[in-house]
Amino acid sequence: MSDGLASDEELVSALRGGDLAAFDRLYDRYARRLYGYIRRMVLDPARADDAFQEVFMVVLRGPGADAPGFDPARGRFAAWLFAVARNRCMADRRQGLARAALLNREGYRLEPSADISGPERQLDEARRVRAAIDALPEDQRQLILMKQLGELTYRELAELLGVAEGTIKSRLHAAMLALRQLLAEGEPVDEL
Amino acid sequence: MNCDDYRALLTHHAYAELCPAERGPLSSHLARCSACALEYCRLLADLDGIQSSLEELPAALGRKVRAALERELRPRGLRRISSALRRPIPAYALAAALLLPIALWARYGGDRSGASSRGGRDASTQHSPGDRGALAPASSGAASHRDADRYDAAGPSLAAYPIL
Repeated sequence: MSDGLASDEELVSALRGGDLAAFDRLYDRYARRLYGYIRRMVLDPARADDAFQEVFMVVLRGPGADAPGFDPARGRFAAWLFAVARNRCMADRRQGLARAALLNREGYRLEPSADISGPERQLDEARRVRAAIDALPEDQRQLILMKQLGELTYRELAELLGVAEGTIKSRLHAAMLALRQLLAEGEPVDEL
Repeated sequence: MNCDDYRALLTHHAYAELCPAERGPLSSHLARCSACALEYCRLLADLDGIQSSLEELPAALGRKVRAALERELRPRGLRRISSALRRPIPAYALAAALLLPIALWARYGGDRSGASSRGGRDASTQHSPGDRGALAPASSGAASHRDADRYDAAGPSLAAYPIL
């Protein structure tokens, strides 16, 4: 697979044929976004790493009991990949382990923080955003994470969730309003 | 369209998901309306905040996933051998594997060395030139061998025996 512009579908096919260079290409394209999404869904780093690896194993193995195989006729690879990741993460969450980790996690609060500045302030801001996202209803959280971290297009999101693109637009708008409301509630006092 | 209508489009504008028919009027509105422009800037800042909460991809993870895929892609026979080699060996099996050669040596190796030393002694007894005349006549087969084992100093000399 020497063509740098090979489609995802071609790369998946080459990978299943044993071409690990195709894996390298797919990894370059999706690893950062996929890991960002999984890491926000599965808060325990070791479990997130496992989930990440399992998603790529599903890509290699194709159809299985745990996930339907990727079929180019039924949609884009990105949508399918994130659907696999979402199912894997949801299974993890159902086990309750991720939720327990979340509750034990430091900074799982939306209260305004005390006077801090510089890098600490940035860290605090990131923590505040995380906490706000975690406080969203599950479907809104999924949508924002898959859009913002997964960088999926509205069309891919529509394929993934099995709804019309217009529905994605209205749901995402509602999710962003809810998130901004939560962020406003947790805004530091000195910024008000 | 009023400000609320335009604000409903801001998220999609930020994600470049508006069609040209929507994008044009919104851009014009943002250029005119400072309140909506401020709202748009806040939205972009929030989206940046989500992006900055992104966890770094560990460098070692790619190698780990690649190695797992490589194992998966290996032919089934090789994979089986490789997994058998990597399987932990139980302590009793290891002990048995170490003791078995020693036990076999003790049983057979020791016997063979004893037998060969005995055989050597017998041979020297049989073929000693000095004793040749004292050997019993070699009649045939095992019986003659047994006879040869019996030494009789008073017996006739070897010359008295027929050659064949």
